Amino acid sequence: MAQLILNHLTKDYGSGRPAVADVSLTLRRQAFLALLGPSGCGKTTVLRMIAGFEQPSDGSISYGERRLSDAERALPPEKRNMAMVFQSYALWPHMTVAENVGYPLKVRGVSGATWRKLVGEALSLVKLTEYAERRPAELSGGQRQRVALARCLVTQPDVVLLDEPLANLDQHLRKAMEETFRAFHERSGATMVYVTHDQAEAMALATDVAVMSEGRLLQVAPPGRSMPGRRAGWSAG
Amino acid sequence: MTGADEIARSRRLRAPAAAPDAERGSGVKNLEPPLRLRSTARRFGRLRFLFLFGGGEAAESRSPQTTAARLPDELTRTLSGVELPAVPHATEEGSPKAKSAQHADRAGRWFAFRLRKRRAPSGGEPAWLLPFVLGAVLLLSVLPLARLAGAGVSGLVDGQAAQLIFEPATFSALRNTLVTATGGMAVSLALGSLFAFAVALTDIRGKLALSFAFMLPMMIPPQVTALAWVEMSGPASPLLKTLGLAPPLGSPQPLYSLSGIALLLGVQHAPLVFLALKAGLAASPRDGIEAARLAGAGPFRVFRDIVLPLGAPGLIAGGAIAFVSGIGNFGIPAILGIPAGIETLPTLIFSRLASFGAATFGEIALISTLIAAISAAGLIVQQRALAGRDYRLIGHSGARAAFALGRFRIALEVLLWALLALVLAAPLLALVASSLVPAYGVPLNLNTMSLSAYAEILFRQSITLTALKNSLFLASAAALGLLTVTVPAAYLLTRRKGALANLIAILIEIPYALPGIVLAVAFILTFAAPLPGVGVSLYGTIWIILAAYFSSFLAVSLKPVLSAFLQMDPALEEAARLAGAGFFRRMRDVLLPLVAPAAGASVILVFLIAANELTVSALLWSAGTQTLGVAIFNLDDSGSSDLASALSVLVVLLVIALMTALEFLAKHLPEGVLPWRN
Repeated sequence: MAQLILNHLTKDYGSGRPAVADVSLTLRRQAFLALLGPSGCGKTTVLRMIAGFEQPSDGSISYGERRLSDAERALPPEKRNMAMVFQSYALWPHMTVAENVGYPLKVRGVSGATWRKLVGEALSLVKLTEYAERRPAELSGGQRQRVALARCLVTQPDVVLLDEPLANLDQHLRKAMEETFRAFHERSGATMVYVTHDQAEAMALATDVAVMSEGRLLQVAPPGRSMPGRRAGWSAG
Repeated sequence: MTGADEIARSRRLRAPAAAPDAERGSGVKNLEPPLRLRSTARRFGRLRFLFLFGGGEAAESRSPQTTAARLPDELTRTLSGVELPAVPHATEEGSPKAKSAQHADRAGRWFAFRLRKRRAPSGGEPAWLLPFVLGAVLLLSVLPLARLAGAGVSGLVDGQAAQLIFEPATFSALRNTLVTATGGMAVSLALGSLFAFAVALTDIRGKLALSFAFMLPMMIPPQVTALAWVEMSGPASPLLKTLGLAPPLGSPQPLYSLSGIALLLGVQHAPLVFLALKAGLAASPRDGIEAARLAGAGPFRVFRDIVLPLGAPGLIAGGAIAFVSGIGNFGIPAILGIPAGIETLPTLIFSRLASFGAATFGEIALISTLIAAISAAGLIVQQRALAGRDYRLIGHSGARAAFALGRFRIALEVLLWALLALVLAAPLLALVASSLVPAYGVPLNLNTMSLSAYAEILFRQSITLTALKNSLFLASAAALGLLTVTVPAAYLLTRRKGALANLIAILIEIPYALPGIVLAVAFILTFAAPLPGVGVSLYGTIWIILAAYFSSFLAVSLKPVLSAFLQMDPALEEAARLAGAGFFRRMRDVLLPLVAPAAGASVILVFLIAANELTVSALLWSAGTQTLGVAIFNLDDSGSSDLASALSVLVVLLVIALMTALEFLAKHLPEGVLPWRN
């Protein structure tokens, strides 16, 4: 089973203190890791390095046997078979919901009936079938969120990255979305990395919780086995 | 052919025909190009450091500051239920660390710069992008300017040019330029901000018509504006004569003065302030204003505390652009200043070129350096003003905030339309009137009215039709061709920060910031000699004008596209990358559709400006390649003010027709293409 391995991962923007320092983690397939920490602790940088938007200054990232990136070279994001739910959802405003969801398929050369079938399945999983022809601008925040999720779902990626996906939603929607994430996780079987600063969210969803502070990894444990917040010396809002 | 050809011939005798001789005299060809390239790079070195410094500050403030922490002893942690990571990595990871440390030691700042370039793949741009953009910028900006700088240096070495710079004529031209540009900026700021605030923030009616009418002065060529205002005022004005208001013959034309030039520069460039400010205000969130109202702030308080800070960068930037445009304007001071003996720096260059001497190129190179220095100062102000503003909109949400004016609304509407009547309608009416009178000074009435001027330029003079054809070809070729450079350049400048990006941005800006007349000289110097390898000279053909347009309007074409890229949420492209789309794929599917409105705006702007351009083509044209601007200027210069007016009227009609056609197309165009639409 392929593992996502972060090996002594370091990112230094050249400003004195590295944004991420010496983070090492091994994630089995189907792990749901919550990356927890206050804002500015480097968790989003870790996520962006996994996705390939940033190149590490030191250390490496591998998926199974494959070296994804190190300080010398990096596999571009478009070749990593990963997917991401951005904090802003990053839906393309000029495409319909179905086109947004189906774009990764289109890039992979899937079209016609297969395309419609796969997009339809993804949309029905997030309960948006009747919105297929709308534009993202006509949707509510929770609906946009689900479109972004469906877009991740559609290609069966190896790794799914989620960057504070619930930050802009209200309490009710969060509960509903947490359920959707869990179902999504079970169905996809992908390794998921979930960045959040909300401890409760991390506890509710993850199979593992990693706590970061000031660029370093403080602790990794299954949820419930520790109170990372107290030990780390900060409290999640 | 006929009369206008004679006019043309008389002009050509004075100017470009003498160019090759003069060049030989100045000995420019002896210098080696690489040497000059390097000297130019050195000249801009300081400017670059200035920007480098500014960039450094921003980068530092962004990084979170904390103390360096001890690394945890336990380097590798494993998640529950999973085996430990493969050990071999532990041996591998020592070497890259040591290598990069070595790099940093030996390298210092300059290598750090190169190191970052090597890491570029994480930005996702293809390897050819930087060389392509750099090559285009070197060809369009650095090469001609380096050539000009070389001529300036050799003029300095000759010693004749040194005398010129201390001549009283140069000093008074410098003073006149600064006075008129500053005055023009003040007028532009007053007019532009009044209209921008009214259109962007209040509930006045007819905003579309107001914006449309207000944008017109920018689209009308400056020499036509000047001509129209001259026809409106003064003793010979057909309009005033018809109304019986004309001052007695022999009394001075009030516009032939410094304040006249400043006023017209102000009217001409007010749309620049309007556009810059409106763009800033369009991003101001309705929520923010409503929140301030709820917090207890009255409308004036909201204006001061919310709207003004949001608009300030646009206001300063717009003012700076208006100032720089005023410095570089040739059409207005040429028509208003020359009859009154008022020289500005651009007209001084023009007249020096007309009286060719051995040191001419050295002289004008020095004068243009002076202009370049002033323009650079203005541009730095503009850059600084805009540096702090980063509105990255997610999607295209653009709710506009509105102040309800109540009973003041009608007063504001009357004021705005009255201003438009004064600065736009009246001069244009005068222009029409003078195109209908048979001779200078004749009052216009039903008996004297005649269309002979139109018949003359449309049917009897093939030269005006050639000019029309040339201008349309040049404008559309420049507008569309430039997109192939500016879209990649805008992408590059958005994705890549740092010294090199700043340098590229500056190099793109410089040819536009420079007055067209300086650029024209630079192109004469660069392309007078036959092209290497081909053995054909561009000089005297329409291609040299096109090349100069490419260089001059690079910045015009870039700006809308660049701002679209800057406003785009970078996650939109990142999402496409994770979806598996390579560079061209995501360009086509995601980026280009999102910047299409801006690209459309860029094409329209370049077309409208290029079609009416005078300054560059005034120096570069020769028989058969005259443009509309040149044709109007030549007709007026030869005293055929009725023919010049008639052609000007046709040009204004063309501009209005183009803008109206776009207006009808507007609902099929993506939002944001037309600057006068909300």
